Amino acid sequence: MNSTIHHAPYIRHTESSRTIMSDAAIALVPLYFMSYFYYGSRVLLVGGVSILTCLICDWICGYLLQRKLNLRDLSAAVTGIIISMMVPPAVPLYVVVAADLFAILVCKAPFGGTGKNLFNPAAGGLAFATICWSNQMFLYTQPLQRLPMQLDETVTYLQGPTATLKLGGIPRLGLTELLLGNFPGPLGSTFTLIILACLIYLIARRAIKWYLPVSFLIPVAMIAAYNHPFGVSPLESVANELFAGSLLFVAVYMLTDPATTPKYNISRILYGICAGILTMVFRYISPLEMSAVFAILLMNALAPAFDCFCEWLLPKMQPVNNETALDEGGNQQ
Amino acid sequence: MSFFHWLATGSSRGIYLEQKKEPALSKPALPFYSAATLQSQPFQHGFDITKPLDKKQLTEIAAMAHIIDEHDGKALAKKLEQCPKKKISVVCADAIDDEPYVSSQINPLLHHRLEIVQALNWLADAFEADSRFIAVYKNMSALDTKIPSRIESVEVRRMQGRYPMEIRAFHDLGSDTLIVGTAALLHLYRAVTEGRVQTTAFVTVNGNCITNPCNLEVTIGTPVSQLLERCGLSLDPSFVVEGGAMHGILITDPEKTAVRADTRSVMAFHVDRKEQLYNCIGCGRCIEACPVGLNPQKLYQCVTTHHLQKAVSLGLNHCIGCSTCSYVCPSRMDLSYVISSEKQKLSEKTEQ
Repeated sequence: MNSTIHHAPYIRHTESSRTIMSDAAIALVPLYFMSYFYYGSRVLLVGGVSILTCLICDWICGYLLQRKLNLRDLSAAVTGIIISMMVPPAVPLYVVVAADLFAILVCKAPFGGTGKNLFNPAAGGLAFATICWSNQMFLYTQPLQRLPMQLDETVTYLQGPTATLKLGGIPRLGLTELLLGNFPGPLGSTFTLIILACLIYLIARRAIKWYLPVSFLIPVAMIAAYNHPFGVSPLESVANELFAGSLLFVAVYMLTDPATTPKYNISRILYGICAGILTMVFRYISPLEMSAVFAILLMNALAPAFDCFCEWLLPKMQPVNNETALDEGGNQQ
Repeated sequence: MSFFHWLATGSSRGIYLEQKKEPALSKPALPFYSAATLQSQPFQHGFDITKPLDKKQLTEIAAMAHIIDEHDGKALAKKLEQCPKKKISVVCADAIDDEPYVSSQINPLLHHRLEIVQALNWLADAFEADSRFIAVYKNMSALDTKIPSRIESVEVRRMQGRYPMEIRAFHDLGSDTLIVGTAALLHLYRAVTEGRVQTTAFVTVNGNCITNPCNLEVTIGTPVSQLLERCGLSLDPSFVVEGGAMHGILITDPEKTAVRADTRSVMAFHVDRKEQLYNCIGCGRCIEACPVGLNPQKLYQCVTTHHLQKAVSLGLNHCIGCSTCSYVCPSRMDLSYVISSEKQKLSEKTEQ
């Protein structure tokens, strides 16, 4: 019986970091099925390579930092899945591997590993790949055409609806296509219906907070509705902006990463709103299609500042409540 | 809880714990006596128990029977003696077991109802209290037994709330309330009617590696290892605890630790070591769970990096040490231990 390192409480909640991370992984796996249906078995290859690269890289970093190897730490696998979801289905494998390596070696390990990273590793890796291989990262393929395992000349590359939006055009896809993700787009992040179902699962499992994606999507929707192009109804513009790219995926899986979001409710809501506004600014001004990832990376840097702001704001916001809470704390000694 | 309160921290003032009281609760307490109980001599108090007893007589009997109140670990006679200084308007029998696994107060209540209520009535009549009630925790799920709403016309009040509820509930009752544990009431009844000295304590033996969880009426002084043997161990326990699972004291040597009069439970737990290797992932659940609205995660960071000033400004001194943050932490960090021990160090420093 080894009882030297135990302190009260002696029982713990059944949910652990592992269950939180496996919840995220479980909510991501259905997207692979849909993607397999659309693009064939190559997506599984991309996913497998991405997950394995991230995991192995994470283990090696842990070994170099002389940490105990923890096989139950699934956060690297989740990073790998997210990266593989955001790349095009016909992407060369070295781009995926480079994104994974950048994510783990630059965005995660130097900060101290799981939970201590300042920036979302998946967002960092994707931003790196987008800047280095901006041609390959936006060449999509037609869904429902099986991709060969080895990329060859038979693959026809297309531009996605996000490129059309970027150029000021109107995709004219129709709501059904948008909800099913049946248009040239990233590997797994356009299947709106499945993402929404997974969002409900994640909220029900308390893995993410509902107000984070909501506070992110509302400003995006409002700006899109206000700034709708000529000849397009505001609602259609909102649907195009939200569902034609990977914005919803980013809102559900990347924005809600617990390590890089602020900790207080009010700062989380502010964080979501600011990220939404920044995303739309990038959409309208920057030359790259992938705007939400960069917005999230920038907001990650500000997340501790939001918390500090919240700590400063809290005593001013509710003086009465706070005092009673403090009184109770003082008297129970 | 106001909207602003939620907006600020998301704090819901504590958590609901899974109670896991069955099957120990519904089984009557089994006797587990040694010679000290069986051979103890009854005493004669010489009062006429057909007439109502007054304060002084009850105090004397409690002193003769050496009754310890398990509610706060004080001698019952002393508690009763100190009472007449103030007016007692409410007498409350404490059967709140809001910690998981523990049922050593509510179990005697269910299986010795009449005795306990009789003793409660004696006390309430002697103190001329306006009201009397039995406090029972409400948020207990999956119980096999039904808790009655009245016992002999005494109200059984179902107190609801999130953990840590017991401290807060009794804090709200005010200072004109006399709170006595149910086991102490049962001992008082036995002392009055049979002249029995308190030689036993009600102890719950429970935990995730106990084969046969149950409540035992144990002779005081029995080694804890005998209790564990009596109930059986299905796994090699990682540690043995005395007191509640949230607040208890670690027992390093069960052979040499004896059951005291105010021991309420003995628990043996088996934990998975591999579940303790995680880093904080910053999920913010500790902030939501904290009953006083602190940020345990940041406090922990400040304390471990020796930023004391920052920790104090974040409210280190308001920590009540309820261990809720450690309980909910998915990374199994020792938040509560680190924070409350630092708070203790700080208060020792300021006293010097």
